[in-house]
Amino acid sequence: MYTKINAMTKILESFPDFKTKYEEHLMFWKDSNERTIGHDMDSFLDYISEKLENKKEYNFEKVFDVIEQMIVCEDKDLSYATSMHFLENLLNHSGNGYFPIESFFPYLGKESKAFCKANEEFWGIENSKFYEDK
Amino acid sequence: MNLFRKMIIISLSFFSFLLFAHGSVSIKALIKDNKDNVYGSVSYSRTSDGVEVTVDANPGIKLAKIDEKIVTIQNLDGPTETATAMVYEFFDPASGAGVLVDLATRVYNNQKEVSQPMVKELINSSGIDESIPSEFMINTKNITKGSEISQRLPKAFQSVIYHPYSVYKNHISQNRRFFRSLEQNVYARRNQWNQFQQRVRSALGASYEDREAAVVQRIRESAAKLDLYDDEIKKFTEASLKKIIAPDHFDDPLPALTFSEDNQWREIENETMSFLNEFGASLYAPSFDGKYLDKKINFDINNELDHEALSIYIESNIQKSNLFQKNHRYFELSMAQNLIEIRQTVKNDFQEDILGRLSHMANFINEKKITNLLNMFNLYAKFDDFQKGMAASLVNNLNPLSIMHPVSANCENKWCRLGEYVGDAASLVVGISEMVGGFTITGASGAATIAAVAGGPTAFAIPATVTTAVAGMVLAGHGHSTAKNSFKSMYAKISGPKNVTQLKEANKSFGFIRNSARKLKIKTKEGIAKLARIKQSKSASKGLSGAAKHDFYKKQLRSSMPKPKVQDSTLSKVIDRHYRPNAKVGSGSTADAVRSEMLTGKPTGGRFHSEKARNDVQFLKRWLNNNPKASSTDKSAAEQVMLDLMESLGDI
Repeated sequence: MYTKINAMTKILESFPDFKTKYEEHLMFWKDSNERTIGHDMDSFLDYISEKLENKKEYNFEKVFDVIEQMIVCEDKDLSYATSMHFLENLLNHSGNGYFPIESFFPYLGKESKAFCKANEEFWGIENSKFYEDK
Repeated sequence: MNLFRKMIIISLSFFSFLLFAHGSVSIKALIKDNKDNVYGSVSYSRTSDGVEVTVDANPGIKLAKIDEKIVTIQNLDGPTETATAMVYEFFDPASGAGVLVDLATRVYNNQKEVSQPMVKELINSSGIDESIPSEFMINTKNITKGSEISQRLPKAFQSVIYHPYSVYKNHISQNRRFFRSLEQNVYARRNQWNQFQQRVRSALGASYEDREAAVVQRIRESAAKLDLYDDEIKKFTEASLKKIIAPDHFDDPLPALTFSEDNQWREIENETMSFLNEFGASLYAPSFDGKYLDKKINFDINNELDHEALSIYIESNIQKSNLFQKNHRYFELSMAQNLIEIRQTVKNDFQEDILGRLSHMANFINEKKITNLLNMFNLYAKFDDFQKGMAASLVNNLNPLSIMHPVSANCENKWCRLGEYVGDAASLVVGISEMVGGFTITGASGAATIAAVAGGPTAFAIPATVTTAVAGMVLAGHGHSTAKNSFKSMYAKISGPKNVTQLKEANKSFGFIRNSARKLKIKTKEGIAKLARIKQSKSASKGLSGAAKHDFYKKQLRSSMPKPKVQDSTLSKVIDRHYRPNAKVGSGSTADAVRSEMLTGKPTGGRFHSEKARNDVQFLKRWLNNNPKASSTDKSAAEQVMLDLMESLGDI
């Protein structure tokens, strides 16, 4: 079960190559007590974005499986951070041309897709790929 | 003893008849305030051993001896002698009134005031050893009367955004009680604890250290087994320690109890010392949240110039706090404060002469010495580089879209940078945007006055207010005597291919925003709301002063701003994840999402954006803090995005 306490530890266990990036993130927030799980998820999003942007071989299936579990978890803070800081920012990066939606669309779980669709509707995005998905 | 209730210093003339020379007999006088309320009496008598003073309080009057020291006094008839100087407080709890009577010095030297040391003593008795500079407390370099202190100190604390003085006073009072009890209790218990340690050491012999380590380890293990180890706070509770240490590891449970209580006392002691240190630090190195700059503004009052700047800063604040409304004077005083905030922020980069000028300008604003202010400014305006820096600052302040397309002065020296700073501060006071539109400048006598100021020594009129003077400064800074020429000149000073491109881009973007608003009106509810806001803002801004209006317009435009361009790659990604391209809600920013959700009350995918917005504010603050040397464009972009988020959340 994912919680905001164990989420980053579990992510690091699953994706040990994220460690260097995460340590940089911790250095950025050194001596501050204002870091939240939202900021941690921003950091993970940046890491995955780089992989998508550079079209690197990566276990995206596993990444988005973890994201799906976090979206549906009972810890509301973690679920919020995953949706607003990971998925919405992923869509923003994609919209800004870093990588196409198709590069991660197939890996998204059911709840993740539902959130992305609602998010695209909110922003009034026309012809979104998420509207096609039945 | 309550020094800070309403007190009235007894009048000097009252005691004048008490003067006596060697060999005089006893004299008795009533202690009265200037309303002739009688509080008690004082008797002087000279004996062969010297002067004896007896003080009596009337029934119901509280009498406290506040200060006593040996002084050398000069008798009016010539000879000097050593005597005891005493300061008494007579206080009437029923009316709240009272008098401070400084007996010895009043009698022998009717000019001298010693009330100030009394305040020092009061605070010193809480554990701060050094004297407290009087200027900090009361903002004056003159010797201060006790009555002034009693009236002004609480107000001074309030004005400089410290806690109310009563908070400190209560702390001092509590701490004094604490120290007394510390002496009586803690040290006694500490001795007991030391004795206990000795007994343990003696019992365990040479292997004490190892055994102690083993005991600690066992405690931890036992605690873990007993589920007494608290995951959250990562420490044992006192109760747990008592339970574990006493019965299992030592014969005598009492010392274990002592250990625990001793720790509690030490905790209190540490807290108290920590408070006193902070209190001392706040007196000697006051720090404020900047009103103009989003930074801590620190002063070191051991530094004379810093000290002077602090006095000016406080004076501006006091004057502001006395105003009932945000009129032009309020913005003038804000400019004085801004200049001091700028001074404190750049003081490590600039030489004292420049820093001093900033202080002087601020002081002239406080004192409404307009001619001096203009003279000071004329000195600057002679430097081309100063004009260049100021021109860039003003163009950026004139242009609401400078957030995205700022022009740069490419400053290479301090004068240019100073020009930028002063321009920034001045923009806040004068409604710069009004000048561009050809409106009348906020102030008393309008265009004629500007011409006068800009004309320098041959000026035919002196501006009536600081605001008008600053408007004049703005124009004079470019060496021209009419608004039209001045602005032409201003743009000429920052000409260059890059700046020309930035200005063109800004112009295009402004058109883009207007067009988008029109389209939004047709396509989305948010568009209608946005347009309504813009219309409302035009109407709402009507009653505002120039400075307020300028601020108002900037706020409105910030909420409409498209994604800013930045150079730093990290910041660029942060900004990118903050904006949704092709969005129909505002410009697609998180702040727009917050505004929209507040308008409709509906979340997005079951979630509101406000929490994310707060996280983003924290992140941008942190980024600005971690990157003080980032380009001004990047810093400005980060600041504007952050301000927009804060405005959307209603935090500012």
